[in-house]
Amino acid sequence: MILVIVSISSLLAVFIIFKLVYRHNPNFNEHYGAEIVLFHSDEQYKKRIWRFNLIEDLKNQESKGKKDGKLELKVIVGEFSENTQEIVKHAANHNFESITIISGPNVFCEDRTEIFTLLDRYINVKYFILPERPTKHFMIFDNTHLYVEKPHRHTETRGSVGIKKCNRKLLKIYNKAFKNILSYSKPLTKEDVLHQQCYKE
Amino acid sequence: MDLTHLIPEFLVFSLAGSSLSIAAYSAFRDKNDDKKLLLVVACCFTFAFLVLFTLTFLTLDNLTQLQYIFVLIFYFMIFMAVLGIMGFIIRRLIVDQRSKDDELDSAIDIINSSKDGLDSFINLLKSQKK
Repeated sequence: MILVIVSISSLLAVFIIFKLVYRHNPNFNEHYGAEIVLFHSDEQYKKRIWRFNLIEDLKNQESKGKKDGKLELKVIVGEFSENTQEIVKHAANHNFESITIISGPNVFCEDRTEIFTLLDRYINVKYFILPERPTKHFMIFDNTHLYVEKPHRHTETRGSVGIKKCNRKLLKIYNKAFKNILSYSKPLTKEDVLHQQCYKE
Repeated sequence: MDLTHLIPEFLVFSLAGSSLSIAAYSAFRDKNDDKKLLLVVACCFTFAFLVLFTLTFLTLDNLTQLQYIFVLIFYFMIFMAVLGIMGFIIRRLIVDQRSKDDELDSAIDIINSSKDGLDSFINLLKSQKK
């Protein structure tokens, strides 16, 4: 009898400890957002997974009918590199209907054909370039989630921050900046991409 | 069965358990919740050890004064060491929490510096257009 009580209570205690230790406990700050994640510069893989998961979550929410309106992705990067291409492709494959990319004037030479095929295949991807390489890089997922990269030169690996359910005010600042920057950029068709300036390795 | 027969076995078990879980704790490279769980397990083991150890003290009898003094010194040292281990575990838990707070701070720093630079970049584009 006592043995039963002991084993049941220990089972309960273990359950409670597991609940406590493994509870979802993200960083929170009301001025910034509900779930703030810091990625160190050596955590490239984590960054990718975080964004991929976010895209999948948004798609699931949309297909369950919780979202009204279409999914939107806004991206500002230094150059439309391989990493960004993968994120964009993933988003395009997951019901994102409007994808806007703004990048600096140059790309890496070997990426040009990749970008061509990407623009060729996904017509909802719009590609713009700026006369100057942007120093601030960020992504806005469906006007609710934000991903900000630490300011950097393009040769460096860098840290970044992801925010789920971003604070409205903060997001507004970024949205406004995106709109502003968009007005200085010019659209690029897939044919133009093949003649875009590029960095020689 | 007599209680005194059980005590040595329990002592060995709890000691081995705590040292094993601390060893497993230090084997994990990256910081995650599993590490925290191992610390909590180690804490349970050391606590069990402490309880058993007190029990052995209570069952002591038939000692001369000299023996008694030596035993006391022995108990004192062991208690100190075990409490030290518990202190270490609790400190680790606190440090982990603090490093998480630091992470939030540096994340906020990154956002702020990025946010403040947005306007200056737009101004740069504006001046170039002119």
